Amino acid sequence: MDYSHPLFLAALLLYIVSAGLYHVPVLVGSVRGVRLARGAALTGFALHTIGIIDRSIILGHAPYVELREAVATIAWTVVLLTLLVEWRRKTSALGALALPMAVVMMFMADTLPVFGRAHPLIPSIYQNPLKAHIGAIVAAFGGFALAFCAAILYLVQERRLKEKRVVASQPGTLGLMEIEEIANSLAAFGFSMLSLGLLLGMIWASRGLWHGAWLAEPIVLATIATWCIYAAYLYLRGVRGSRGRSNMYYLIAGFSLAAITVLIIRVVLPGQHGF
Amino acid sequence: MHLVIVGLSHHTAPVGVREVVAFAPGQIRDALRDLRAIPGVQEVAVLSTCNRTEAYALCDSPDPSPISTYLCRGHESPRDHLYSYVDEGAPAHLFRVASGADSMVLGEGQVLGQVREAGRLAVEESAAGPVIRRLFDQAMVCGRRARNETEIARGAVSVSHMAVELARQIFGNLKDKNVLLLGAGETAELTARLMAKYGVSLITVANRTFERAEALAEALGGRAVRYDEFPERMVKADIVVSSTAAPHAIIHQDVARLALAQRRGKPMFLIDLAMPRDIEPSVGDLDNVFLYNLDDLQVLVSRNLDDRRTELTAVDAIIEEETEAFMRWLGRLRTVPVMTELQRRFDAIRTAELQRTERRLEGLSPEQRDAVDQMTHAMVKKMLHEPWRYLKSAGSDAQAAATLQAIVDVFDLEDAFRDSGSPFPGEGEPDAADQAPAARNLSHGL
Repeated sequence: MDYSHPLFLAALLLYIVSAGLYHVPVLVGSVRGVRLARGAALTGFALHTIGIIDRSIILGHAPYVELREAVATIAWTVVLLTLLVEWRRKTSALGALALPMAVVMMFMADTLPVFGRAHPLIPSIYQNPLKAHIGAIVAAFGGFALAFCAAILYLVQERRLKEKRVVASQPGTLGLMEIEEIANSLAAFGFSMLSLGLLLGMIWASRGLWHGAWLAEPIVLATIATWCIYAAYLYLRGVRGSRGRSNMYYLIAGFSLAAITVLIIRVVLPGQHGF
Repeated sequence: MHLVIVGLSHHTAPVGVREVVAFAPGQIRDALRDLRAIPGVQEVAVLSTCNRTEAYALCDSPDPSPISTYLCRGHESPRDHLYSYVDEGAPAHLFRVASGADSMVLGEGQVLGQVREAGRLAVEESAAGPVIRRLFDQAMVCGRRARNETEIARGAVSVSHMAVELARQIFGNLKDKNVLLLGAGETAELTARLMAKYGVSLITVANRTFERAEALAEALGGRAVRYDEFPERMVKADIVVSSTAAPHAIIHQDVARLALAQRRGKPMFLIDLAMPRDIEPSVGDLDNVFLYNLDDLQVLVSRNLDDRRTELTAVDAIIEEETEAFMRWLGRLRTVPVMTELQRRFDAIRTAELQRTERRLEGLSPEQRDAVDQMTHAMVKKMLHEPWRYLKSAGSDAQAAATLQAIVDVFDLEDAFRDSGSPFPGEGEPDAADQAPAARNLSHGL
């Protein structure tokens, strides 16, 4: 199945433009360009959405039954969440990291040979519980990806403040603690989606539709490990009241593991699991 | 008719001279009246701040000396410190002042308010006519543009503002943050006041003398605590501003470490304004601590000032644009009365000629008579249309002025203005509609 769809290509180009424009304030130190960056992201997102709907109608299934489709849909989720956060928080701080990430994901979904290999679709993929299972995990990964961006932003700004290399703030600049809050709500969103996704997967597998020990699948184990990292983070922050830099390492580790799960384990240790 | 500015500022005069010339707020109205009474002065405004005193006048002659003499008020000392700007230099200077490009602290915002106030006062006292009014209105536009379109007003340029700026970069919103004030230094108090303005939830003051702490706490709407309680208070404090007179550091690494452990990594902003320093530098190495001392803040402030300086070219471009626009308006202001006069002359000729041919037109019906009247009227209008259009669109001021003078000479209109004594007869000014009746009456009376 050929993945390239003219609307996806247009969305990718707009995301690239937007990613570049989001860096204008970072480089020049002024808010010029931010509006254009957001406009490009929004237009790209709209085209991407239409593309996804169009494709789903043509193919007659959800836009993530294949791994590369799922990666592209994670990119779509990242852009959606970025736009939502930036609108709610009246800020433009996240785009500079989130849009490049979306671009990388779109690119991988479209070009990397690993993803280019056609997977024979197992018929069960069309069953509803499984669709919901993948959908929830795709949303979770989107949340984790953006939480990862926020954590990186936190560490960069923390370093700048620590080393006294501060730049005058502009409208839309976030305080360190505000970045931390955003990262936290994204991680919490991702965690609840991942929990839901895992639960649905387990229900589906335990109904006897799965042949063999599903828990022994590398991808399942890795995903449960990811879940544990975020669970630990949420416990420390929510129950123990922990704040600050060390929390951010959990968010970085969590998303890194999630990315490794998708990129490496899936390829190196292919199991019975769809992807 | 000339615009004349005479004044002095921190650039040209030491404070001892500035205070001789300066007007107290209550004296400005008198000054406006006195200046208006000087023969040959049509309109005035006075701008008096702690750094500058300037008189803006519309005069018959470009000679600034009558105004200089008034500003010196019998003293000899200010005379060498006064500067003056005439004609095109005058709006350029005021626009520069309003933009903050001439201020001691580049880009500061206060001066814009002072310019607005000076203009308002001059209008209220009927000292300002259409020209000075327009001049000050446009200065406000220029000042706002400079601040919005360039970065001349960006970044904190005082230690206390810098401290608040950093607090906002760490915490974002300061609304639910606690501030602990150690010692009662002046800059520390200023910083706390500013933070109170940003809505910090609680300011706690600890000072060696408890009474001083109480007084300061009351002034800031905060709470005083005993000095030796401060290590425990640090646990709840998001921001600590320290400015004690202690001869050695009072916040050591172990004290800070203890507080941080209980804060569970919640960031802490420590501001050390004391000299010698109150906070051990190694405290800054701890995780989630942001320690800034007086020097750090001052370095950031001076860097912001440097940044503002690089914006001056962009500000100058705006000033130039606005000056050009003002001069164009001024040029048009002279065009209208000349053209009105010319039209009046043409019309007089038309009426006279109609009367002379009265007898030969007797056979005409009233309708036909009306038609003749209308026809001649249209002729006059059409003849004047082209020169009117030309003057309105004339490119440079010099070109427009020369053409205008040529019209005055060719049609011998000079008398009309000599009689009335003013080139601004008031009627038909370009923007007459938006000028207050008071201002219009003023120029009528000139």
